[in-house]
Formats: sequence, C-alpha cells, structure tokens
Amino acid sequence: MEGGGEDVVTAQPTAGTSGEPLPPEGFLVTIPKFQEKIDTSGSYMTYVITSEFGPDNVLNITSGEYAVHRRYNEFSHLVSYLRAALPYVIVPPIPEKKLNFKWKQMAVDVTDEVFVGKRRIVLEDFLRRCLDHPLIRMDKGFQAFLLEQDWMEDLMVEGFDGEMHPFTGAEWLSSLRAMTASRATEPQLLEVKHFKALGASTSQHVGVLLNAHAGLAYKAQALSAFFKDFADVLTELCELMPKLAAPFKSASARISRMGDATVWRLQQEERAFVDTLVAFMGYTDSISAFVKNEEIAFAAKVRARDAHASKVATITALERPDEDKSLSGFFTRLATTEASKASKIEALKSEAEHLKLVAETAEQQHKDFLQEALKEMKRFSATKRHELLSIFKDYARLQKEHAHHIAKMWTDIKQAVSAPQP
Amino acid sequence: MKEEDDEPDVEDVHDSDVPAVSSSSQMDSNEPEDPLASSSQSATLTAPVPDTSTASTTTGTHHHHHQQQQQQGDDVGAAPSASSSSALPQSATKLRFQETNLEDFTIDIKFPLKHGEGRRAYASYTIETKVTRDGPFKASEMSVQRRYSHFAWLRTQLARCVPGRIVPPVPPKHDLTMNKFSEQFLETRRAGLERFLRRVAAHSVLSHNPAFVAFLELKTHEFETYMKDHASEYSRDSLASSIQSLGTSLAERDPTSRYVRERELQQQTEKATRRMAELSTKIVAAHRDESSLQQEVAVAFRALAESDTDISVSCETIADGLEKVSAESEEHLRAVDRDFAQPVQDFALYPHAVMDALHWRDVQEARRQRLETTLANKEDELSKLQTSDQKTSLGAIFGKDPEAIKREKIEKTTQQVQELTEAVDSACDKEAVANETLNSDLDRHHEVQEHELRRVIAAWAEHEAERYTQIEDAWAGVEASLTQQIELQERKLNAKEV
Repeated sequence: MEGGGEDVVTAQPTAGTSGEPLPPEGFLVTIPKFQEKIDTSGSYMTYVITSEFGPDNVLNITSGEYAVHRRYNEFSHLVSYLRAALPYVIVPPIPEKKLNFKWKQMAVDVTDEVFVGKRRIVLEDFLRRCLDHPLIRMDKGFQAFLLEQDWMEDLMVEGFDGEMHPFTGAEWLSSLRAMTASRATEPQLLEVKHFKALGASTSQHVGVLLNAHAGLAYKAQALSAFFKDFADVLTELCELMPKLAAPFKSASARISRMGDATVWRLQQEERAFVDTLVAFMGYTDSISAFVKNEEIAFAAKVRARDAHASKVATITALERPDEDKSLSGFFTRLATTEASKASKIEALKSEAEHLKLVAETAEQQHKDFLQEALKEMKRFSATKRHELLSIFKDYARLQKEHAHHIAKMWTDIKQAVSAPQP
Repeated sequence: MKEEDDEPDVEDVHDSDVPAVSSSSQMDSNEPEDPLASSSQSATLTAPVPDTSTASTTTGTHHHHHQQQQQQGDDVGAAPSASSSSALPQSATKLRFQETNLEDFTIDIKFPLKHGEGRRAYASYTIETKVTRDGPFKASEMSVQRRYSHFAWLRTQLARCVPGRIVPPVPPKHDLTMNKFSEQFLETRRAGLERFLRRVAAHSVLSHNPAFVAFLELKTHEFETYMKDHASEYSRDSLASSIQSLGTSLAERDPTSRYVRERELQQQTEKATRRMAELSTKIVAAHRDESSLQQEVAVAFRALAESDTDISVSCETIADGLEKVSAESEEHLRAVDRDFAQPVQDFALYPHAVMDALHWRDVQEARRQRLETTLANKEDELSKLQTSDQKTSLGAIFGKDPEAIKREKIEKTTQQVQELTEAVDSACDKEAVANETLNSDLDRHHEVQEHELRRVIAAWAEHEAERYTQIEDAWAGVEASLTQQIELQERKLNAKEV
C-alpha cells in the first residue's frame, strides 16, 4: 500500500470537479450520485462514476474529466475480471446483490432510495480500495472501467492455459475454472494455508460479532420505544398534577427526544459500523478466489509435470522394456511394431521435449504466483488493519458523541425536575 | 405469610350494622371505629394543640419550604375548624418527608436473615430505630426483628385504628414468579418496607399510633402477643365489612364534591402510575440486558482478536471499552433501580390507600344520611300519631283507653326522635371530623406525592447523567487509543516506503 492512499477518495460524495485542488496522487474518483435509466428491458439503476485526472497523476491517464454510468452487474463483472486478470491479487469486495444480511433485524432501511444510497457508499468504498491497490489501479481493464462506457469490449484475459481469452463475464471465468480445477488439491505453501484458515475464521467471528451487535441494536430499539411511552405517561401526569406540569412537560419532551436520539444512533451504527464491516467481510470471498487461484496454478504445474513424466515413461517402456513392468508399457509395446519403433520414439522424444518446456513454464508461473501472493498477503494484512481500525474508531466516536448528547439531556431533565417551583 | 383474616367478621358486623330504630343507640356504640376511635380521634382532635406548638418550632428551625407552607396554611384557613389545625403539623413534617430519614426519627432496616428451612422458612428483618423527639417511646434506640407478615399486620391495623387516614402502602405480597429468598427479591422488599416505616414515621398521627410504637419497640414474642390481643379486640369491627355494608346506599353524589373529584383523580392516577411503574421496571431491565449484551459483543471482539493477530490490539481496545461501559453501567443501574424504579412502584399502590380513606369518609356520610332518613320517618310517624285517635290500635281492641295508648306512643316516639336527633348530630360531627381528617391528609398526600415524584425522577436523571458521562469518557479513551494505533501504523508504512 502506498502512503496517503486513504486520502484519495473519501466515502462522502464530493463535488469532484468543483475546482478544488486534487489530492497528491493527482486524481479524484467519486460516485456522487445514482440515476435511473430506462430502456427496452425496463428501468434500472446506474451509478455515475465521476473522475478527474490531473496532468501528473500516478496512473498515467490522460488528464481530464470523465464520467461513466455503471450498473451493479458491471461492478460484479469487474470483480470477476480482476480475479481472472490478476489471480494473485485479493480483489476488493462489492456488496452482495441483495443487502439482506441475516443479522439485519432493523427496519430502518426499507425504501429503495435508502438501499441504493447505501449501495452507492459501499461501491465508492470499493473503488477507493481498488485505487489504493498498486496493481489493480494500473490494470488496463480497470482503467477502462473508469473511463470508457464500453469497457468490456476487446477485454482479454490470460487463462490458466496460457492463452488470451476475450472476457465476457463471470460465467466465462467459472467454466475456465471448472476445466482447470479438476485436479486442484490443497494450497501448497504454509503461508497460503494459514491465510485461507484466517479468512474463514475471521469471517466466522465477524458474523458472531455482528449477531451480538444486532442483539444490542434490537434492545436499544425496544428501549427507545419505552422512552416514548414513558414520555407519554409523564404528559398524562402533568394533567393530573398541575403543579408538576412545567417540569414534567420539559422532562417528557427530553425523554421523548432521547428515544429519537437512540434511533438516530442506531441508523448511524448501521451505516458506519455494520454496513462497512459487512462490506469489508466481502474480502472473504476474494480470499477464497485468491487461494483457489493458487490451487489452480499448482494443479496446472502438477498436470504439466505429470504429462511430461508419462511421456518419459512411454519412451522408457519402448527403449528399455526390461525396466518397465507397467501395464500401459505392455500395451504400448504390443501396439508398436519393430519397424515403427524408432520413429515413434523419435516423435515421443520431441513431444516430451515440448511437455518439459510446458511443465517448466507452469512451475515458473506457480513460483511467480507465490512470490506475488506473499507480497499481496502482506499488503492485505496492512489494508485490513488500517480499515478495521478506522471502522472501530468511527464506532467509538459515535458512541462517545451519543453518550455526550444523552448525558446532557439527563442533566437538563434533572435541572428541570428539581428546579424550585415558581 | 398469612394476612389478617378480615372475612370471618363480615357477617358479624353486617347484622349489627343494619339500622334499626330500636337499636340506634346501640348501633352507635357498636360502630367499627369506636373502640379505637376514641384514641384515634383524640389523636386527631386533641393532638393539634401540642402538635401545633411543636410544629411552629419545627417550622422555624428545620424547614426551608416556607412558601409551600404558607400556601398550605391558606388552604386550611379557607375551611377553619377546630381539628383542621392538625393539617399544619402534618404539612410541616411532610416537607421534610423522608429524603432519607427524618432527623429526629431515623428508621433503618437491615438486609434480612433467613430462618428455618423448607416451607416454614421465613426472612426476618432487623429494624433499627433512633428517636430523639418527644413521643410515646420508652427508649431512644431500639432494635427489633420483624417478618413481612408483621408489616402487613401493622398496615391493616393502622388502617383500622386510624380510619380515614391515608396509610402508606407496604410492598405487595410475594407473587411466586421469583425466588422468595433471592437476594434481589429480599433487597427490593427490604427497601419497600423501609420506605413504608419511614413514611409512617413522617406522619404526625400515624407515628403516634400504639400499634406502630409496639411494632418498633416490642420484642418478637411480646409483639406477637400484642398482635393476638388486638386481633381479638377488633375482630368484630373491620373496616372492610362496614365498607361492604355501605354498598350503594350513598345518595346521589354531588359531582363537584371534592371527594367525588378526588376519587376520579385517584382512578386516573392509578392508571398512569401503574403504567409508569411498569415502564420503569422494563426500562431498567432493558438497560441491564443492554449491558450484558455489551459483554457478549466484547466477547465476540476478543474472539476476533485471538483469531487474527493483525487486528488483535484494536479488537482488544474495543472489548476493553465495552466491558468498562458495561461494568460501570451495571453499578449505576443498581442505583437507578434502588432510587427510581423501586420507589416508583409505590406510586401505583398509593391510589388504593387514598381510595380506602375516601371510602371511610363516604361511610360516615352514608351513615349520617341513613340516620337522617330514619329520623325524618320517625318525625313523620310522630306527626301522624298526634292526629290519629288510636281507636283501631291493637291495645284499644283489647280494651285499653285509646287516649292513653296515644299518649304512650307519642311519648315513646318522641324519645326515639330525640335519640335519633342526637345520633344524627353525632354522625354529623363524625362526618365533619372525617372530612377534616381526610382533607388534611389529602393535602399532605398530594404535596408528598408531587415532591417524591420529582425527587425520584431527579434521582434517575442524576444517575443516568453520571452513567452517560462515564460512558462518554470510556469511549473517548477507546477513540484516543485507536487514533494512536492508526498514527503508529501510518508512521510504520511511511518508514517502509522511505
């Protein structure tokens, strides 16, 4: 991660092109708004990505202002693309298609407007994380996503077969996976194994945490209802005890507002803590993809090596039958006449030569992958620490401010109730 | 725990309470309040003289609520009467009303001890009393053991001995939803019983009652003997039975009457205060749940800290914060429960005590009305006698002189009318006394209630303000620590890049 990364794009929608000086890295990318679009297939929501690139931006993009409309699915495609194009990168997550997490019991966000607004914030976070990543931000496909409306046209990805394939979406990736993953085993490197286990356990613990927190939110919501009721009872008592009318009316109004303040806090918590944490936990999927890619790279290496070894075995079976006791060798010898034997061995040797090359390439690819992966795991660990620290800090600040607000109201209530009667 | 048994007496009094001309004088002497009424009324009627004098000194030395007292004095002045001056000393004591304890009359109940085992097990409370004021007590310091049933008896006894007074409520009976000997239940009850005794002590008439004195003074076995003796003494005249016999006999009520309005007010107050008591309990319980849920969240943060070394420090920081908040909250919530949620329960019980007192007064009014009706009938009979010739009377048929019969009858009826007139006068006096008693107690009651209600809500607000200030501090600490951790990490990253 490079310094000052978190300053580049903030979660708040900013004016972007309002002439404010750009951040040190020379660019600013935001999603200031969403827009409904209608075409023959119906209406859908698009998020407007607005970018401004200065003359010396670190991404080497032609300076200027850009704006593209992106649907949610396109973000989803981008993630698939990045996972394929940069297999050794832990790609930042985007929110699930539906934000209906199981720990979400609160009924505070029901309207589409709120939902889309929340998603806008999380998608902006996603872009910020991509732009913080030294490899993702330099990727041509990613840059096309920011700058060109038809970014998916001509987009090519190198498959595990070493060939370039046009990228067409998530299905493409999974079919390629299915093909190559058949012989995937466990990750080989201890660090990767640990990393995989950590991803799973962190996600599990955060799930427990969010559940416990939802219980807390639920209780707070019940409390805010009790406070409303208590305020009503105080108002009733004002009529029955006229001498208490003034202090109790004032106390009642404050207790009622305390109920409101609690609901407000819950909404803030939902946005700044729960949603952010949930979105961050989307990294778990990316970690799985990352680990899976390692497994695939390893499998490719093993397969190439096996293919080469099997060719060598066949040659041995033909050249030195005494050394060979295998059934396949026996059949090979059975199908081979003495006359064709020499030329067959010749052909086999050249095939083996090629397979040896392939196996070496696959081995090198896996080696390279691991080298990048180790760097990536370190980078992710720093990102995670930094992001969670900010989430926790925001949470602590929210609690502090809320407590301050409530303490003030209670002090006022105490003064109102114990003030001498006129 | 057995309450005093009122029911067996009902029939008894029912019979003797049926108004019959011939037994009208007997009925008078048989009235429920009589045996003690003499002592209770002497408290009401004669106490004012010494009371007022002590009140005036008390007023000068201890009380800072001059304005209220002035107002109280004005109210009394609007309805001047011999006994109404008793309102003054009461209002004087009332304003000092159990902030914690009276200065010259402190009552403290210790946490109870459990005695016996199984079904016969009971809790016994040690009551320590210090009295420095002049009064009926033999010693200035006393310590006695009492059970809940003794308190319940005392309250019933006070209601009987000093009818028409608003007797403070005792905590309700055990409702079986809770372990009778759990610390929480016993503490709640202890505090409730302590409030009850302090309220009685703060009442100028109730605090002089012999049953109250006996309750605070006598050794357990002496007190139990006292209870038995007095139970038989009053077994024939329970307040409950006379109230039952009242039925609907009260003539049409004047809707502008203070007592009719008061009854309505109490009914509404009961509804509101019951709701408030319920909500207070719920709020404290929900806050407690919240604090234990905070601990659960803290545990989840600790688990996360343990599983992921990258974020363990920050997770521990948050967990520490949550645990601190939770621990501090629990301490304050105990205080909120003690100083707010528990006392608020009493407000829901008071309307019943007030309505009992209102009822007693209504009984006096009904009795007076009944006697007046009987008197009117008798007078009617007398005037008819005077114009009749008694020739068809039973005596005349048997050969008596109709004139003599007439004379005899007129004489007898005239005497009955005279007796009834006296009875009506006496009933009027009693009604007036009942009115005065109740008026003064009602005035006192309203001021005490209002004062107390303000006080418990202020206490709640104070605890909550403190609690949230501490919560704020705890989170400020967490925020500062996390900010530091962020800065440290950024410095490390920058160092690496350089």
